[in-house]
Amino acid sequence: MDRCLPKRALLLCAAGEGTNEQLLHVATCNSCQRRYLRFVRDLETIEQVLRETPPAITVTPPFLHYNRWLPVTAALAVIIVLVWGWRVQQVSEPLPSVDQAAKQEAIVRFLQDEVSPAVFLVTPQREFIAPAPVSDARYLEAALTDGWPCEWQSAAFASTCEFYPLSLTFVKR
Amino acid sequence: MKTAIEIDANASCESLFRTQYPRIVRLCRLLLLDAYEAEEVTQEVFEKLVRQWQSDNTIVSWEAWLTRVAVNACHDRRRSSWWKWWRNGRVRTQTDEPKDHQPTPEERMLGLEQQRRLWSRFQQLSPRQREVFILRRIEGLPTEQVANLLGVTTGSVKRHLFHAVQHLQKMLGDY
Repeated sequence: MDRCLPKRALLLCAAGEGTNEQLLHVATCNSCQRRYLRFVRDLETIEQVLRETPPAITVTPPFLHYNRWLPVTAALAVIIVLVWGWRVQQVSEPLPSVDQAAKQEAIVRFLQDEVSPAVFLVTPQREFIAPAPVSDARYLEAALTDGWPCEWQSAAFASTCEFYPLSLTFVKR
Repeated sequence: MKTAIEIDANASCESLFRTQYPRIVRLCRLLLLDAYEAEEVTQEVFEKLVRQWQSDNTIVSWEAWLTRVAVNACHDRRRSSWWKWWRNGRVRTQTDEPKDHQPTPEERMLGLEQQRRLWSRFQQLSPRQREVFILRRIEGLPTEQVANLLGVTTGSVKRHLFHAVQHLQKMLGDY
C-alpha cells in the first residue's frame, strides 16, 4: 500500500477497526501516522469526557409546558362546544306556528287599544284653542304704521304683538 | 437457616452489584441521555439480575449478561419515552453536576465550554450510532459482540462507528 490512507480508513484504524494492512501502512508512513495519532488523541479526549463528566443540563423552557397542553385544551373546547350544540339542537322543540290572520288581528287590536288612545288622547281638561285669523284692516293699519300685523295671534297677546314664529303653540287653559 | 452455598451466592451477587452498578448506570445514562431514567433502568436491570441469579446461576459472563439486559432495557425505555415526556412534562433532562465535583485534569485541559459542546454533539448522534460508539469505545466490546448484541452486521457496526467518530471528531477539529 503506497498511497496515504483516506480519512475514513484512518478514523476506523484509530477506533480499532483497521485491517493489518492499513495498520502496517500507518506504521511506515509519517503523514498517515501523524494524522492517525491526532485521531487517536481526539478519540481519547472524547471518551474521557463521556466517561468522566456528567452531561450538561438541558431544562425544558417553561412555555413548552403550556404549549404541550394547548392543542389538548383546544380540542377539548371544540368537543364541548360541539356536544353542547348538539344537545341544544336535540332538546329544543320547534315553536308553534302562528296563524297569519290571528296575527293580523292581534296587531290591529293592539293598535286600536294601546296606540290610538296614546296618540289621539282627548281629555276634558285639555283644550286647544286656535287663534283667530287677522283681518285685512289690521294689515292696512300695520302698513300705515310701517309695521306688520300679528298673524294668528291669540287675543291675549294682541296688544304687545311681535313676530313670534312659535305663536301657534300657545294654548289657553 | 441459609446454607453456605446460598451465602456464597448472595455474596457473589452483592459483589457483582458493587462492581457493576456504576458501569451499568453510566452505560444507561449514555444510552438514554437522562440520569433519572438511567437510575430507574439500572434498578430494573439489577432486579432482573437477582431473579436470574436465583433461577439460573449457570451464566458464564454476568458482565456481558448485564450489558445485554441493560441495552435491551434502554431500547424499551426509549420506545416509551414519548409517553414519559408527555406525562412528566420534561424533555430529556440531564443530571446536575455532583455537589462534590472537583475539576479533573481533563476538565482543566478542555474547559467546560468544550465539554458542553462535546456533549451537545454526542446528543446529536442517532440512537444507533450512540449505541455502537458506547459499546465499542466506552465499554470496549469487540465488533462481533456489538453486532450480535444489537442484531446488526459487523459492517453496519463499522459504518455507524465511523459516522459517530467523524461527527464527534469534527467538533474537536473545529474547536
